[in-house]
Amino acid sequence: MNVYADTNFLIRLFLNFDGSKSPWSLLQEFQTDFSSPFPVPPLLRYECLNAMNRMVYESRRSGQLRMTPESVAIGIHFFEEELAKGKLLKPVSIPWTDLNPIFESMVHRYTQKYGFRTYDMVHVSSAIALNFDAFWSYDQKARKLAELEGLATNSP
Amino acid sequence: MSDMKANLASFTVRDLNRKPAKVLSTCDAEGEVEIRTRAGKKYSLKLLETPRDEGITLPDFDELYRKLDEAGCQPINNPEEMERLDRIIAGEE
Repeated sequence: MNVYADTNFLIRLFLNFDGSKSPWSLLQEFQTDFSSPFPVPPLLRYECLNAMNRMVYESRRSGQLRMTPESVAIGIHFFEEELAKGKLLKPVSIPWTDLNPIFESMVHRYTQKYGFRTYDMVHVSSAIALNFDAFWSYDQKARKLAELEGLATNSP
Repeated sequence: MSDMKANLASFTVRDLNRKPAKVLSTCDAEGEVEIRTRAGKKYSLKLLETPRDEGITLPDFDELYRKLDEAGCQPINNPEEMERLDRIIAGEE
């Protein structure tokens, strides 16, 4: 099984901001089924870094979330460390020329009907370009798109 | 020279040039394929090695979560707030 995990999944895994440890449980459950580490193209890394820091901003601004700069720094350090090790996360580079036909095909087939987000389509296109067979996210729209493209998804 | 195995999938040199992915995927599936030339020569293309799956190695996330707790992280359990954070992660806010 080759799994592409999106930003939503990775943020929950590395910050556990919902307290469920659900992504961690999923990893443990399927540990022996993985054929390769989770690929992390530059865009996915940028999204993760920004979203993790955004949690500090949101904690200060409003809501119930309490994510301190120290806790986010710990989460980011762990994330970057795993990316450097390459045993759970692996940096990958996917040429735009590989993504273009997949992305454009999705736009034509789905956007007017479902209103999918650009980044979700980039990530699902990336999973397909890499010949991966599964897409993990806790985002309903991203999972829907992945399922339309025939990728296996996780339970919410 | 002994005959090629009778049940091998057979391709032409033209296939090798025009459809290499098809030839190699068949070779992956069957382990060996036959390549024929116009002059009647036959060659064998064999899969010699498949790299082992890399798999994954899991770090200790329980240890990470303990450190997050110590650093003052308080998870939320409000579904509406979770939805808002999901929208933020998705770049919708």
